[in-house]
Amino acid sequence: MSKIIELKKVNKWFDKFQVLKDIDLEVAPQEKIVICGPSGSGKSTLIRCINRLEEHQEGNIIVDGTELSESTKNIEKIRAEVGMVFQQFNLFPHLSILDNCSLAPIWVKKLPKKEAEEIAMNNLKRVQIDDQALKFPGQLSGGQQQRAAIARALCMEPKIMLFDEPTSALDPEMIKEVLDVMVDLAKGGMTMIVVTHEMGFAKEVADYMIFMDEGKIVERAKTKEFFEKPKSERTKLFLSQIL
Amino acid sequence: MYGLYPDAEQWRINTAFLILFAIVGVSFFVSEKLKKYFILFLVFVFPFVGIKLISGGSFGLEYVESAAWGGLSLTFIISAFAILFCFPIGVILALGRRSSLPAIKYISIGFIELWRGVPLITVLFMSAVMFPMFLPDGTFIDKLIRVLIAITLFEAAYMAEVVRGGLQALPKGQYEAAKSLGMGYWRMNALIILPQALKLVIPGIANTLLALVKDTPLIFVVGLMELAGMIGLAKTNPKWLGMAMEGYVFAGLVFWVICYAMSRYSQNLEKKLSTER
Repeated sequence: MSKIIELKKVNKWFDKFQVLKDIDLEVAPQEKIVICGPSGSGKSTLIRCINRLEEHQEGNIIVDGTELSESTKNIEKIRAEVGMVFQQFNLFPHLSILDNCSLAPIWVKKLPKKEAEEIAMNNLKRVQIDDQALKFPGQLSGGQQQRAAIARALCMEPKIMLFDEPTSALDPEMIKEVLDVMVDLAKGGMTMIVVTHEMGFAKEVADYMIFMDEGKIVERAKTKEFFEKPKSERTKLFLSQIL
Repeated sequence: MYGLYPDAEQWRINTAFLILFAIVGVSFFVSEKLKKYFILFLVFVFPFVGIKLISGGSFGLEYVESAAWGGLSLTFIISAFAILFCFPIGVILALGRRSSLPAIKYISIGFIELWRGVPLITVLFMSAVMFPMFLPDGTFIDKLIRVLIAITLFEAAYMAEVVRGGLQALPKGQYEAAKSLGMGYWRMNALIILPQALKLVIPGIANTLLALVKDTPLIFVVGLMELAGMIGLAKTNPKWLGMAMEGYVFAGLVFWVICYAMSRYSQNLEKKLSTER
């Protein structure tokens, strides 16, 4: 099958500290991949490299046939195709939820305002906060804000969605409403790469699991194998601690 | 009020200010959409129409050289122009100083530090006395315009640092979210970063602009007489002998009214734009 994301021998350093070591990764369209690992293992950095919020120093990253390089044009093209959801939501506090969602379609995709707002309302309905559309981010709960952030990313109609610990900043009772939206999205056929510690979610939706430690991919396996008979000792230790 | 402006031509200043107040007044009562055009007109067209009207020289209006302008109307003209131009220049300098391109960054830093490090009086003297020496013979730039440019650039440097404070206060996540949606540098700044950063620094901006208005009397050093300068001149007039105290108290009062109005306006703006919880 053709690949939508390809990483070849990607290396990255923060000053002298190497955060990513020889990362090879291929993702096919509609695949769901969950990345887990201890903190500082480079999982967030890895997915932030895929839309160039972080720069890699060696290797190639190819997203949907476009190589990420210095070219600003390529970078903006890829970013418009790759949605990202952050741990801290990062909604724009000076805009209403509706404007948060319609802003990028209007200014980046140049859609007419009316059409963009229609798309925004549809996506807000999908994450079940269409009744909050005219409120400002500060007036919403954490779970609602994160769902709004997912809707905002979906409004660009991305081919790939990246999730960087989307539930880590939420109260326990709000985690479920966000995970429900993500499960729904996964079932809709979206290509997803998710960094999370929610193993229940991983078991439910992931095709592949990736375990990272110290900047390396330690193990990549089908979800069932990963949980039932992990190969490396490091993975076993990690799983025994969090499950 | 009018300084040394010829008595017979004073209606021109009056008309200019009447138009200004009429536009501002009417704009309070029209719809949001019309208001936009009013504001665009005020910012981009009116300053030039107004100046033409006051300076004359064409359309059958007699030319009145800027050295004859004076009094309260000059205070308004200088403040308004300097505020109008120092703001966008300041914003551009602030963005420039945070640019990742070294050339733009160091030019901005150099510009800001140069203008911030020199007293305004020095700048005014240089603009009025030294600057013409560097011009080729025969070229002439009006003294008022030179002074205006000097004040504008001087205040723009301060404005840039105020705005930069706002830019630095924004969380990194705002930049990342804007980028992740595919926005380029200009769209990110215009739609996401500046609206938030400028809102954060409204008190600082108001501060700088108030200081600007109160700095206008300094132009007396180059022979231009705005309100306070005019009173200094008037008190030497035999008719007004012994009235210096009244004059200065009046000038102080006028400045206070202007500045208090600006300060109230900035507070209202802050409240209006607040979208915090």
